[in-house]
Amino acid sequence: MGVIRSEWLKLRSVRSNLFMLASMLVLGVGLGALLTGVIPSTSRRNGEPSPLHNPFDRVGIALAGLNLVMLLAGVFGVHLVGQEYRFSTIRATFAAVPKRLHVMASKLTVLTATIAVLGGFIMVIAYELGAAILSGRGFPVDTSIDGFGRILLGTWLLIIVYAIAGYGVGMIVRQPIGGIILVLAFPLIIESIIVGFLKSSAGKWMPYNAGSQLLQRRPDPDLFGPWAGFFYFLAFALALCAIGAVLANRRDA
Amino acid sequence: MLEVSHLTKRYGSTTAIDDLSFKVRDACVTGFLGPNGAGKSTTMRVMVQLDRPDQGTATFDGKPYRQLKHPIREVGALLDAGYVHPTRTARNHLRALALTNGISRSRVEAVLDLVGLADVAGKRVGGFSLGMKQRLGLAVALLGDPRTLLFDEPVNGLDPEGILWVRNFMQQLAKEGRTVLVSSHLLSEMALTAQDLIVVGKGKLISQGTVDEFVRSASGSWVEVRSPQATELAQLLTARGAQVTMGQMAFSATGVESAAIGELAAQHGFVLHELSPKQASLEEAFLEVTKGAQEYHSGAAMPGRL
Repeated sequence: MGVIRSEWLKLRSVRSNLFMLASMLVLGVGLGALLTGVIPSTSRRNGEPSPLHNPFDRVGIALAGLNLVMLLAGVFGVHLVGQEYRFSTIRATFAAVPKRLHVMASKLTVLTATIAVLGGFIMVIAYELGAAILSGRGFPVDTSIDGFGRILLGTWLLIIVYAIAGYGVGMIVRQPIGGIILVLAFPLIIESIIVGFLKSSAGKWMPYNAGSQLLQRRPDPDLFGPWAGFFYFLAFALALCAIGAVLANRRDA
Repeated sequence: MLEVSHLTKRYGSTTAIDDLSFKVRDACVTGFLGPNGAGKSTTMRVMVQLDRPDQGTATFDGKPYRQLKHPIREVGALLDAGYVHPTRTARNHLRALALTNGISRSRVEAVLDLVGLADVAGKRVGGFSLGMKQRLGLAVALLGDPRTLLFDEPVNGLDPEGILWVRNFMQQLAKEGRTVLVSSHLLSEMALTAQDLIVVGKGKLISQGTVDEFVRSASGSWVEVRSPQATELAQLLTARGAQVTMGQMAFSATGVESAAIGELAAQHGFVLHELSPKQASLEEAFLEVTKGAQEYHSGAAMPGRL
């Protein structure tokens, strides 16, 4: 318990951590409000109707800012452990707690709890604000549609798993910058490149892509189902943490 | 008691520590001495399990560091004052470490007081001077009130006042019955602080004993002689089995007492301008023992003698 309290104090007592958590709130809520406010309600040029006319898409639009929150959660996961290596404070930590797996597990616990609470809070605020703006524009969110609960819950869970995956990457690369580039580039670019070069069937096995199935309206038969995809993504994130912890335990600090 | 046994640590093809074994006595300051690159820091990092040894063990009263229940309550280490986050305050840095070993908040305040950082405890460490960081490092080492203390080059970068403060502090700690191992590449510094010496070079043990023993065994004594008839006197001494190194109307001799030289000179009616017995300085003794065990040679001649 002492190590968990120590990790919680360490998280709170560094300015950059607080800044990153605050920016998750501001950017997540702000981007959501912006998108819900400006997305056009008229048909697109190609004749496709505006997504605002589709009640299912409205849920997604109201939650749009949360995609950024997921990425920022990943960045925070890297940062939390990467900064310890960058400033060598990991050595002070490991000297005080030579059982390194204990340290790494405690840090993961604190990270998960923090992101779960803050991510849930951001999601509620962003959703309420987004739904209110859409409602004001005459497109109320229909909470009774099929999958509404899954998408809401899924958004929250993905924020947490992004953070866990980021933490795993941070432990492996042991420095913030490279790790942050990885957790941003992987879901945004690298997975698409891999799918582009290989067959598109590889898309099923791309972890971030698999996780995002939880937010899809209709499951794609070529990909994992919503929950299967999510658990595949979770397993990937936990595997990264396991590899990172084993490496941290074996390597010189 | 702190005991290092057959410790070996390699980084790639470099062997930083090579089958190193030694024991550190309780309740005194032991100097851990060697040229730069001798493996002192590596040994200390291995002792507290930051680096994994390839072979061998380091134990505290028979237990490896990893098996200590509350390690920093038994062994305090100041390895590098830079193990701090610049935007964390000194107090939070100490508190975070205290929590991991079940150390109270009041102890955190006590060590802040002890090292003279109480006034700046709420300030971010990034704004600290090197001396203040060193004090914070010392506070970390003392946090758990440990019986054994490890200091790696604790006076590096300190001003004279800071050096004096650290020196007195270490002696005080030993007087309280604690075991203190302090590394340095400066023998003169160790001569002022340490009772025992462990000398290493290229990762190997060179000698172990008290400071006095070290100086005596390493250097011996010689006599410096200055005389207009230096050459003749030197010849006479060489004939009697002494070793002589000639200089300009002067020489230094070993293997002969200064009294014998004086008497010999009087017998032959030689004039002596100088006749002085010399004891090698600590620095010379150190260079003598670590000769060939230095990672980086300066190429300069040995100082001191004629």
